[in-house]
Amino acid sequence: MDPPSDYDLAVHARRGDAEAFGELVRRYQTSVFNVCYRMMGNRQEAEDMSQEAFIRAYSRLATYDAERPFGPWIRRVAANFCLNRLASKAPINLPLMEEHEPVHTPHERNLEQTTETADRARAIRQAMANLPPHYLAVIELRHFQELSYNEISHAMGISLPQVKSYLFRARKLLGEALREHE
Amino acid sequence: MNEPVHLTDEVLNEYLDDALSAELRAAADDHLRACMTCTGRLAELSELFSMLNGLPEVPLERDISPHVIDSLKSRTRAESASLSNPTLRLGVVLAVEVVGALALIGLVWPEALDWVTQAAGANAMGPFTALLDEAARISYSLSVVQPLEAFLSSLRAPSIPWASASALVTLLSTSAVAWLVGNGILLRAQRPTSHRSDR
Repeated sequence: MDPPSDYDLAVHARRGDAEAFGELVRRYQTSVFNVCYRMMGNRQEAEDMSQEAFIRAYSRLATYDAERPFGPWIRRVAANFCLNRLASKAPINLPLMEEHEPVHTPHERNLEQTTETADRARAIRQAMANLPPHYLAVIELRHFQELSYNEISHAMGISLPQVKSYLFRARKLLGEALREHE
Repeated sequence: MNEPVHLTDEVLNEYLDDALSAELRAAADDHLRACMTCTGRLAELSELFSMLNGLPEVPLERDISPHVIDSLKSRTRAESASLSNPTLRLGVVLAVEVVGALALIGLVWPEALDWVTQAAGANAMGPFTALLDEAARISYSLSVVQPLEAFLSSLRAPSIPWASASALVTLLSTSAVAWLVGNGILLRAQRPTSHRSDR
């Protein structure tokens, strides 16, 4: 028997079936966690935010169009949730300490630690953690969720020129930070 | 000698985001073929794009779905418990009724104030004396055998403008309906609940 589709699970979850929603959580928790980790820059906080993002998404299932893929929707919810959290608190630039770095599978450990990739990834994450929240959000939505300018504008409730401006400035700051790191 | 005009950073960003119109993109391509400076800047920006897009995903160390499910279930239980708790429902109904009554008093208050002011008139003794005077006047009218006029006069004085009177009637009707609804809810809350099964 085929596993239930995201559509079926979402429809059941919308009717109040928490177990069906739990299955959606299992399917998308890693990608949602990565959204939160990129935006919060801290592993523990990212886990907490992921849980909260799913709980918030459950209460907003009525706004989800079940005809569309669930993954992009839940990732956008998570990104907006993180943006709101970042914007509402004083800027805290937590250093990316070693224990915050992921415990990799052996395969990933080989990939990252035997090359310069780990160092580069850490530098990118640190540079992203230093971005203002709205700049970070446009980077997340454009580069990691692959939204168009118009979609970012709609998702964040900002104008198209603002999207372009934020992206341009965010990339400029990232470029400068990465050059300093080198 | 004129400085060569280079592509702006904004254009380079939009070029890599594939957000330029066909016309602007063709113009940018023409420029990039001839300008090493802009080609270098584009390559630098392109490298940043590659770094961002190549940032590896990290694994989640634990399954968060049980915690999410537990939270959702406990929230649902709390919501249904709060709705089925008769004491809480009674409290909510009473609170709504008190707020409604206060709102009605607030609405009627200006009219009542006008009415008292009119009844008092220029009498420095206050509205109570004015009411007594009014009663005496009505009694006098009755004593001179003009019952109908006296009755009509008593209706007119103290005068309530017709529009205000209709507003009062509306408010009283609304409060009556609210009272009936409130009591209906109370009765439902006190009715023994049967064990329902959702399945």
